[in-house]
Amino acid sequence: MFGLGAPLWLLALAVLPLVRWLHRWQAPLAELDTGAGFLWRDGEAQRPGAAAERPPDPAWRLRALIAALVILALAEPMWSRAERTVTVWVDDSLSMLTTEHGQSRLALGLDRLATTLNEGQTGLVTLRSLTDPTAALAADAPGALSPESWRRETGTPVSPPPPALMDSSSAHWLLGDGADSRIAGWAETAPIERMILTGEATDNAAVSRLAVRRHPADPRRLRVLVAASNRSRSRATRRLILESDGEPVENRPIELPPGGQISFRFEIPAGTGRLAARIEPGDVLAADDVLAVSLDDVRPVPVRVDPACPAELGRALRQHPGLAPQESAPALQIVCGRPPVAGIPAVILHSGPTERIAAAPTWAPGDEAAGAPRLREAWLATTGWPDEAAGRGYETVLQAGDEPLIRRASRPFPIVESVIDMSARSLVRQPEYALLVDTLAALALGRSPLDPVIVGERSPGESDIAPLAMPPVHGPSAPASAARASLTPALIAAALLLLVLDLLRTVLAARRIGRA
Amino acid sequence: MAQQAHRLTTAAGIDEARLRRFARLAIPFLAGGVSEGIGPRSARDRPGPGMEFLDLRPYAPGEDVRHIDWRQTARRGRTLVRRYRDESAADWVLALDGSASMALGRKWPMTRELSLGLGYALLQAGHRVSLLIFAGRVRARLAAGRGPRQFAALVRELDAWQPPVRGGGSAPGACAAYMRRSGRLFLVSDFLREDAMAPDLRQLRAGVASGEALQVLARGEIAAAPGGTVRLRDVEGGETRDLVLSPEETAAAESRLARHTARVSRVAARVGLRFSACRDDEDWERVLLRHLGL
Repeated sequence: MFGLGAPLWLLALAVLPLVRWLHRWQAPLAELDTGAGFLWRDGEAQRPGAAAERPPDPAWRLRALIAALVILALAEPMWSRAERTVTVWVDDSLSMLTTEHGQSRLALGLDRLATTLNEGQTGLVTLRSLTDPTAALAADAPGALSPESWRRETGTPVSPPPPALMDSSSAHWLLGDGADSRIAGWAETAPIERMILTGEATDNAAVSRLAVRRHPADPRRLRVLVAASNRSRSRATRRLILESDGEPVENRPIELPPGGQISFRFEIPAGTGRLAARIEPGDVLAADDVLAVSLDDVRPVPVRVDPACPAELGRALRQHPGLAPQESAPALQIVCGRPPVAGIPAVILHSGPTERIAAAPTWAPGDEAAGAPRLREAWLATTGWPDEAAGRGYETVLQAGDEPLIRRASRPFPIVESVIDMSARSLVRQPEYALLVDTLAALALGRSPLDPVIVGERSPGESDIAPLAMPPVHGPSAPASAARASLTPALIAAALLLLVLDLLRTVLAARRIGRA
Repeated sequence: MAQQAHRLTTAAGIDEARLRRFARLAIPFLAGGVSEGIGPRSARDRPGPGMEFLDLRPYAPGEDVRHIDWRQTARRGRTLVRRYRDESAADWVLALDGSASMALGRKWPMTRELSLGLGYALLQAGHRVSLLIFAGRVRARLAAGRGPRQFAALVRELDAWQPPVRGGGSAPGACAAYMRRSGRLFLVSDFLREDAMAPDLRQLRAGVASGEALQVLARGEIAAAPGGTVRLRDVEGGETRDLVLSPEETAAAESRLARHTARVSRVAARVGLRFSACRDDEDWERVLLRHLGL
């Protein structure tokens, strides 16, 4: 492949016409005296005295060629043979955020990669993430070698790239810290030609899990579980701090055995925003010293209930620990006879003349497994489906024989419709009635509001920062640089040769004129 | 004359022995202005412009048609001219082209050597010799004379003249005013004029009893191609011409020069001048002997 080191010099080729133009102004011609000018009258005579209009000295072509060769030489032409591309697999896992020597392992590795690329002459270099192998950045793309382009705030587990991306025509390098056993195992068999490894620190403690749920007996309190792990070889002493909406609600000393994980349970007042668990003092990997979750899903879901709905339904809703009937800012609406407000998940309960169902009701397979109540046909009475409800792309959730009883649609917003008579005494008296109401709400919300558990966690392996022994590289240890041959010496030699020829020709011509 | 001639020839850089040898060979053929190439004769039997019939010989182009013997021509079936015994010494005019074109190469030194050799022989034979050097006009003149004193004057005149480097022209017709009807002309020039000097030759020939014309050309009359564009300057007319001199162009000019020489030869024959050509690097003695038919 042909390339130029300084292609801007090619712009100088534009001056070549100047060489021809300058050769119009030739030195005064050698004069030959003759006693018989008429003998030359029929020759290739030009108009005498018209030096400025003479055609340019034919030597201009040779001299323009010499100038062109020199310009091309200045442009540093190179011919590269068998140029290969390089794929750099970047371990951008959490451990690469470990701070050492004042900068993260990722930043240090990218610096070394940049130095390597500058020293060696490589072809196209592509950087790929081991947390997202499909994402690629060209090395010469803006910011490709900046840690900010790769940093992951929450640790995404790394995984070996799929074989389809291990192109054999490309050289593969690995940039990482060797702390992940999966990557170390992959590197043993992968055709890695070069490894850029950073990382020395081994001790790290982390908050590995934070789980929150409502207190089953007191909806104003929360139960919290915090798991802290010590990925070091020595015991670690920290303070575990819980912050709810930015305010500390717990602060206790903890002691973590080497390589162990300990869980701590708390009961705290229910906050409204964010709950964070932190261990202090921080260590070399500060990113895993804290875990935070949003408490939005723990709060009871505000539900607007159509006044036309059965009173039994209202009572069931009020008893539900995860639903809070209110008029303003509802996250769920239950309507009985009136159209729902667009954009808010809705449960539509149709009303009208009822009749007993003739077959046993059956749930769609997934919904029964999700905890839907087992209903008997004797409990249920149904109304008819209104005509306008047809054609919305409904999915039947509960049916009796061929007759759907509950169905749902996800567009334009989640809608669950039911023809079950929610005021039927045979149903209201059953304990399954409350579960049916919860199921309807869960179908509309996409989750059960009954006992949500919010979990934030990271795998213990993510907090492993101790570099493992990496296997030797495969293939050539030299960078996959293309063997490039500079064409500059050849061009200079050709220009010098032509220059010598031009000089010889000029000298010989002068001698001939002198003799003549 | 021998001692004085020795001094002069030595001063002129000419070997007197060669002059004497040439004179001995040439004198028999210079008496009448025509020669047959049949070997030396006695002075009594020299053909010339006399009244006494000598013999008949075949007509040669350039000869005076008045000398054709029509009777014998009709009888023998070929054109014959009558020759008469040379009865007296003649007046010879050496008309030399001293123009700028004669300064090129060795044309002028060659002309000088030819003139000295011919003059020596003529003076040895007792003829009167005068000298005219012309360019655009007559630039130097030596009145007719005899003997070693005239030869000395001839040497001085020739040594005193150097053709100009530039300018002037070649007009041998300017010498016509100095011709005598009974005189004989020996014209040396390069004849490098586009009209082959035909009007001048016609004019000169009309003023003399007989004439000779010798063309001297330089060996490098047509310059070797220097491989580029040159400015060619006509040393007489001053005309310049920028030429891309190629071997083909040089060859074409050589060809044109050969055609020009042939044309001069035809003109000389037409007006009655014996004509020959030489190059400036030839030996003068050989040239003169060749011209005289020896």
